[in-house]
Amino acid sequence: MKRKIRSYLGFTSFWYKLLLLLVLPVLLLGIQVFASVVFQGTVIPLSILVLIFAEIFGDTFVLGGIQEKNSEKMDYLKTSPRGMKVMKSVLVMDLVRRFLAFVVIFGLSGLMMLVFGATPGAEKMAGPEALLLAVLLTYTLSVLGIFLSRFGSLLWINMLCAYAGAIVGLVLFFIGTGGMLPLLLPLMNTAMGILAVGLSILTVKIAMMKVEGSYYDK
Amino acid sequence: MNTDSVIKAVNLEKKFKGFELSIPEMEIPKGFATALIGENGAGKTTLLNLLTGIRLDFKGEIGYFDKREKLSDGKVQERIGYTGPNSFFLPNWTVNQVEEISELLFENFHKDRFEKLCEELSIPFKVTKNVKDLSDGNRMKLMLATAFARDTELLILDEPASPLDPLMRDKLCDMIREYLDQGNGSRSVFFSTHNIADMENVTDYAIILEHGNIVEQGFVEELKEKYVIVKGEAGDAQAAGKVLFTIHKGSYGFEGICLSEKLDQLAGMDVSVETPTLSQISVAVMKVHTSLK
Repeated sequence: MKRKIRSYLGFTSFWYKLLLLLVLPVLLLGIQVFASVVFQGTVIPLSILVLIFAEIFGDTFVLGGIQEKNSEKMDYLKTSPRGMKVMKSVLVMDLVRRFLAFVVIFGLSGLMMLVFGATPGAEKMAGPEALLLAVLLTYTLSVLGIFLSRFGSLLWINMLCAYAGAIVGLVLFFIGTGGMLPLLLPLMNTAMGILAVGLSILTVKIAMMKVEGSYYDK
Repeated sequence: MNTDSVIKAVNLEKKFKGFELSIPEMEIPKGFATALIGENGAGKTTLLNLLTGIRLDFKGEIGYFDKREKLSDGKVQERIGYTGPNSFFLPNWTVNQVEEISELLFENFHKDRFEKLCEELSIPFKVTKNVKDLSDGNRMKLMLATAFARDTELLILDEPASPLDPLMRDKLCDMIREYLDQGNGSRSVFFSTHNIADMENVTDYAIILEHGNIVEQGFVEELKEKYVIVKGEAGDAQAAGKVLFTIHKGSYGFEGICLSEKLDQLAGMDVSVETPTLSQISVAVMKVHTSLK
């Protein structure tokens, strides 16, 4: 496990680690503390918006373009007997890190609302099912975004995926927590859970197929 | 000269659209620096990619080191250091990341040696500097640092001299020579090059590749005995041209290269004979086989 974590951290730059793994979560939790203390509110929708955008856009600087056609950026890995193992560890740990980060951020946000209290409007987003939706939506849409954007290395395509993912995430969260239909929230959670698992497998498989395929004329 | 080989390839074949690499047999001598020479598109990078395991879709067999191990044995790649073309590192990696990832990829990578090499080669060691932002020369120096920072028995270098300035090319030759000397005959280097003249003083053995085929190979000293430079007067140019491999004619005379064994055929002409450089031999051999008009 230690080696897998080292592989992932090795692939992420100093700035990526600083901004995505430290500054952004601390900032979002800080804003949530402020919102909870000052007006018993929540910034969960803002967190969904910012996290989906940042995670998709940030991936450009880690694994951007690895599923690109004619991508030949892995020669160094291919000259090592451990190269493909390291690559797979990076892809898996990248997903695990995202999921854990979202669980921690939204979990702590919910805890703060529990501790400091929440207005009726904010309360709808503080329940376990709403928090689970926040985690699953943010995870699923950010994974979908990185999966699609890795087929190209153009910055504007990644930006487009990031914007689209963030807006869709926000809209779905409001629909899910709006209470328009009974059972909508658990249904959405189930659907997002299935999508999350499927997309995670697909993201690792396709990237590995692309990298391993470059050994051959594929 | 009879020597052991560090790589032996048999019936090597790799086809692309409009190109075919076909090498019935090739041996890279152990303990020496071997240059792979050929014009653009001759198949040098393709051959090196097959030898390093970057491409696995080919026909034929490649055996490595004394026991003729296969690349699939796992440990073979640990013993080979490689520098390749631009697509070598992920472009977003920084020099620090290259160091961290090299430690993960290779058991025999020495961080302290890598950092010393970065300092010696003036590679900007900043956490913010991406590989893609490095100049071609610095990127090559970085690749060389990763290869030389490991305990290997064979270095395979794809055009290492091309992006380097003359001073660094000289340094590269020193590094290669030192690497071989430290191995006491157990280490070998195989590099492709266009800069034959610059790399000549470090080249022991040469393989000339044209259109995917080996058209000449041998120890440099043997090649220098096999070929000679012939200079003569303009009046003899036409007759000499039938014997010479290549010929340059001028108003004052001609100059060309021919096989030593054919010197007899120039008898009666007023010619002088000189020992050619590897560069002159290579150009002459390539000229005979090139499709360039």
